[in-house]
Amino acid sequence: MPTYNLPHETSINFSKGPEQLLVYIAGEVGIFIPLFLFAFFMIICFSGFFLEQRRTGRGDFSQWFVVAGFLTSGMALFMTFIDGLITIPTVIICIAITIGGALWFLTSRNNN
Amino acid sequence: MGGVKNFIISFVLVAVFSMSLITFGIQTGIDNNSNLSIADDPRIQSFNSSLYSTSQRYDGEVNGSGSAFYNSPPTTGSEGLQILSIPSIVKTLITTPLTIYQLTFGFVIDTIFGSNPIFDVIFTMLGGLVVGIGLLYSWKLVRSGSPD
Repeated sequence: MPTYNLPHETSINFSKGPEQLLVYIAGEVGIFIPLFLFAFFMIICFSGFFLEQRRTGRGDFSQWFVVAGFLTSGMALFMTFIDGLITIPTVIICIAITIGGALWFLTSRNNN
Repeated sequence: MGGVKNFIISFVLVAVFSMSLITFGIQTGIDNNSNLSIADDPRIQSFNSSLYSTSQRYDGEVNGSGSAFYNSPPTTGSEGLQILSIPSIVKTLITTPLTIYQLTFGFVIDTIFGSNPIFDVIFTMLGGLVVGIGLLYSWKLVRSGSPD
């Protein structure tokens, strides 16, 4: 009798590559990839904003919103290369948030 | 925000940014034989078709405005020099932000919030605000003669 119970066999097929671990998690927990992208977005957005604020004394939040949105959209696009990792509505929402951020940034900045 | 010049440039840049981002996404999927492509989404397809029809209509309006400007003779009226094509130019200045608003903002709203009629009130207010700003800047341009 084993001293501990082995975990149940999963459907992860590692022969296709190590990224199958992420594909398996994304299949089991639907919100995994959106949460991952959201965390990435927030880290870039807030860290960039506070870094700029610390260095120059003032920060432009909308600017870092667009930067974070663009990077997140790029990451979401690259995730589409792997089958089953991300869904198209998630990618489209990332792109839409980036466009909305660009609208906010370009129409609110002070050009004078 | 500066003036009518910055307002229109901002909207044009947003439209160019949106189109380049979406085109980049579609072309990335094609070039890499991607399993998923954003071109599969029906909203992107409708955005693409509306982009084409709106751009075609806008192209005619801008060309009409340009030819009106070149063909209009400067005349001296009772209050000084007048150019007869000013109304058509003002019309173009108004339709530029409106066209780009329809192209980009409609797509963003539909994607994030769906077609829920509850949000229509908020977006109508937002759209009215943007249109109002554009009209005020156009009026300022006509009154002052300076695009800044």
